[in-house]
Amino acid sequence: MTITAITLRNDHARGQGPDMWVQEAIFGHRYVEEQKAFMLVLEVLAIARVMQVDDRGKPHEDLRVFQHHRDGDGHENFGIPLVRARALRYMLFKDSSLEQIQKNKDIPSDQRLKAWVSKLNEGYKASVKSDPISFDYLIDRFGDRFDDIAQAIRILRGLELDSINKRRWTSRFLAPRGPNLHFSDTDEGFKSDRRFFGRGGEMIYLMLSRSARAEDLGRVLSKQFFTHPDPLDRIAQKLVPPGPADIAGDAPIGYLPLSTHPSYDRMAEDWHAILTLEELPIPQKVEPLFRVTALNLIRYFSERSHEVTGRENIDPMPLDVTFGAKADLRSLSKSYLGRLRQMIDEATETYIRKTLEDKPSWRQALTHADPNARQKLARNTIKESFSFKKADDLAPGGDAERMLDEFVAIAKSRSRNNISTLIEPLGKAAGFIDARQRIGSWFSASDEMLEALVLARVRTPKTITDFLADLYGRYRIVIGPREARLEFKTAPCDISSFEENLRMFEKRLTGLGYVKRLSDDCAFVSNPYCMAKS
Amino acid sequence: MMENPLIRFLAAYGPMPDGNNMYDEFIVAAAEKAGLAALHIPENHSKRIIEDLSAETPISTILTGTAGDGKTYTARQVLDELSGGSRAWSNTESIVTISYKGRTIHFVKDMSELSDSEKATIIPNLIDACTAPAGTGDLYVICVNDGHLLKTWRDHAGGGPRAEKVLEIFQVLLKDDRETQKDYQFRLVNMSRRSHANTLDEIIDAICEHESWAACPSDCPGLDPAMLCPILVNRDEFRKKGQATLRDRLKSLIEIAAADDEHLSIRQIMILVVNALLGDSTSIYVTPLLDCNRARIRAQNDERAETNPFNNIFGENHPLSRRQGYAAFATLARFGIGYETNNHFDDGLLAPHDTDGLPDHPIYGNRIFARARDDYTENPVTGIDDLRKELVSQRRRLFFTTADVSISGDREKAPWLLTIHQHGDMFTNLLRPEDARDAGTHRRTRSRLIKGLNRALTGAFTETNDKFWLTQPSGVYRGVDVPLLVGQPIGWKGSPYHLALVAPDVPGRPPRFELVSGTNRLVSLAITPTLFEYLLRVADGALPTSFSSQCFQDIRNFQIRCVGAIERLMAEHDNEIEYVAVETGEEKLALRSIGVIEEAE
Repeated sequence: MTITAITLRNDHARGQGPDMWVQEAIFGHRYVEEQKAFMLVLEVLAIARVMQVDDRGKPHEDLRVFQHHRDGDGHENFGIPLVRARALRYMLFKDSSLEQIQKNKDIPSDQRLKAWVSKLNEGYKASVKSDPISFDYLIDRFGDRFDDIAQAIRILRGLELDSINKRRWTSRFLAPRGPNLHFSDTDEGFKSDRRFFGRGGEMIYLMLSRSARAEDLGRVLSKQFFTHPDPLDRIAQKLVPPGPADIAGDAPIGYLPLSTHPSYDRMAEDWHAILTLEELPIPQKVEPLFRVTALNLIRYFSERSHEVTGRENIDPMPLDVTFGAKADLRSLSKSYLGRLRQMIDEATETYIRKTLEDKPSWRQALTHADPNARQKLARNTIKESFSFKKADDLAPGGDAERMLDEFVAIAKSRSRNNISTLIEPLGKAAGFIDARQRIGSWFSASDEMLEALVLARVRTPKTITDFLADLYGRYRIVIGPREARLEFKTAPCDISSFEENLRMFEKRLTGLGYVKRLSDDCAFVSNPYCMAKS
Repeated sequence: MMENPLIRFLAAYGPMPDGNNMYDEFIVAAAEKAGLAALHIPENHSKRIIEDLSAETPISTILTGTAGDGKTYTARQVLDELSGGSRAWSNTESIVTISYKGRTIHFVKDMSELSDSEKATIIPNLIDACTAPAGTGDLYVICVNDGHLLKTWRDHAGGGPRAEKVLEIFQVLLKDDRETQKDYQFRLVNMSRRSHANTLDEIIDAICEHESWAACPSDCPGLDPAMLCPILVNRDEFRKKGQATLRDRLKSLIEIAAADDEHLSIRQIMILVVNALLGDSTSIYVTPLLDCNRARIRAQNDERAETNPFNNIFGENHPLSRRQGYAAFATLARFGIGYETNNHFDDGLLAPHDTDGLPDHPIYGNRIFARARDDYTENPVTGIDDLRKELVSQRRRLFFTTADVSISGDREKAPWLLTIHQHGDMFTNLLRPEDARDAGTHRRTRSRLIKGLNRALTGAFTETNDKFWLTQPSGVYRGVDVPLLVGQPIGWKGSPYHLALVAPDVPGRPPRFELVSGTNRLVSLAITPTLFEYLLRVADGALPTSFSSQCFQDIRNFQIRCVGAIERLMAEHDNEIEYVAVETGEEKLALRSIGVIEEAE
């Protein structure tokens, strides 16, 4: 039974933040470039954490993750508290006095902890102007065991993700191995400025929540991330202040237009597949998860764009796995990446024009006798239809058409929530876009991305042929000659390039340990974390 | 014309330029022409096939594998035996049917030879035979290349769920190295997944002890010990048994290649031996092999370098393009023998009087090397090219004839240093079952491997080699984590789990590291020769990620699976895993409890 998607009413966030409401209506509010692929997953987990885990750090009995109620065309309406974890984050990422005290021979060992706590209290007060907190609990808890705490801090700091990029201390994250290790991205006053958690995770959370697998997925996710005992989470637990977890605030969830979509289900299935890999320890799941999330998100953008512009055939993703060695394949792949960006821009324009076409006030703006009235009508219609704050600056003295054209141009070149500029950074971080100077960017696949695909899509061993057919059917990924023939009516480049691509694909998967070739016609891809016991 | 017909006959078993699919028939024809018995190819499958067919509930046999492993030969043997020698299989018959013990048995020599319409009949019948209730229906003995089996099945099986199911079973059996599936009436024998190293002796003897060596004409000057027919010289080389012989080292090379998933078929091995025996690099495009006439000429002119078996075995008597077309030469070339070396060997060759003295060879040692060496000494600039070429052949000779050096001896003198598998002797020791290996070497090898593992996983230059320190893979994306030990360091025995280094149960497979609990094998890691070499070099100081990232991945993967298995095992018994921090600052890894979680609750 196919359920028809309905566009949900947006009652909540409209007009509050963004400079206009265009891409938001098509794809959702919203996605930002600064939110790297791995942060998307972290944001989803942070939301799940505050839903499912109570104040004392225990998961609720009933399942709450991805279980949100909706009526008719109404949008989900729930708030998301922030995981502030102020004390822990300050100790891990901001404080610099730990090492100083460790090295300082003058402080007697039984005084070190006290000395450090005192520095923590001072330092915190100086850094975070509001709501001072006290670290005295550490003394109550640990007496003079300074070395033990120093060891614990060192171990936890070692869990930092993407530690190369030194972001502000309230935007640094740990491997999300347990309830005490999830942090929400905030500004240094612990308010949400959505610089890194730019709601992209909220979008994905909603997608998963609206998918057919929501309940299964919610259960599996809760069990693995919130109930599974983890030694590193235990360590963190010992360092946080007594009392309820440091969670506050209640910002309403963002807006995702369609009630249902095949890409939601696809994303949920991939999440489910990775999370249920029994032989892969939970912390090892985060990386393949974020890569597959980014891929699914790009497919969503692509499909939505096609829907809005009214195109039937969704563009394929020719994937060059030869690291750019095959120039014609690389070129083809590059052009499809360009097309994706164009398609998104086109969707933006189509949406604007179609929306206005339906408005009586716009028709009036085009046909009214009085030019002043026409201008005013045009401006107001645009302002109202798209919550465009700067409508009054549009094409001074120009007519409706000029204003429309200018508005379309502005919408396409937005700096925030401009999906077409998001594609490349997202793809690069996830490993399916490669870029090189003087050549440009194109769809490719890093080793980690290939691994993520195997982990998500292979259960019992399958032939490479079947694997490629699955990737094509599911993501429109074209790698080998067979899919190339299916996809392209006329060959876009020599078929031998696709054959070489296929050979490289097998070679790379073999090098990674996922493929075993038995003879001329017989090579199997298998998932080592899912050994069917025969 | 003075000649021994055996030589021409043997040449038929050598490298053939046209690839030759009709090998079996070709050999039979050549044997008939020479009036000699065909070489007896050792095979040991026919006995079991006959048992299968004679059992109370008989089953069919599908013989698969790559070309050259004796499938057709085996099928012939079975037919011969069952028909009491009465039913010959002529070259024009693709299918032969006999009656045996009241059942009908169909023999198919090569499924790829059948026409499409024949396949369209046979395959559905075969499906019936495989899926029939036990003890009913016709039986089949079919020979088919594994690739062809899978490809052709789909095309001709006529669809239907049974056909798909059987195809799936074939795929699983091939992948998992199994032969039978419960409730299905067939055995799938993959003849190429086994190493033929053990049959090397039989192959060499079949060639070198053939009764027709006695047929050399008694007045041939080559028989005179002063003349030294090169063919007879090379034959003697192959007849030598024991350590540090051509035979013994060749066997090791074949075993190592097999463990790295490069299987040489029986045909390929025969090509190697015959080519080494008869090779002649005087005129590589025209006459790569000797015949009696050319052998006499070489002997008369004392042209020895051209018939050097230590070079021939690598295909030096063929042009490069032709050489690359043979799996046997390609596989041996990967060892880099002749191009790897060290000071001990090269100094010993270049200045034999100054150094300890390497073994010489009456024909292929100093006798052929001295001139190149002296020319070079006199005039390095003009002599270098020739010297390089001759050095290669000398290093090869030394590889095959120098004695092994024990693991605790002066490894600089180990002949395996002349190959890329510098610890090749230690590796082959791992292939032997417990009662056939050198226990001391095995223990020391084990320790080196553990040291390599520990270094690779903790990232520290540790000396710890008695236990495996399995650390938590943190899953930190682009991070720098502190290693935590999962449970206790893992030793070679003990509960609830321990590590084992297991020899392969089937020749041609690599040895394995296994994480074992009681009698359950939890996780296993295949130690291919490449991975073996990697671990030993890391143990010796190489950086884990700079040497081979693929090997590092394999180890990472093993680590992840071990941790997963231990987590599950402990959860099953309601036990908690203890986690401890690992101190990497000292020479040996040390445990340090994690203070904050150690405290009493």
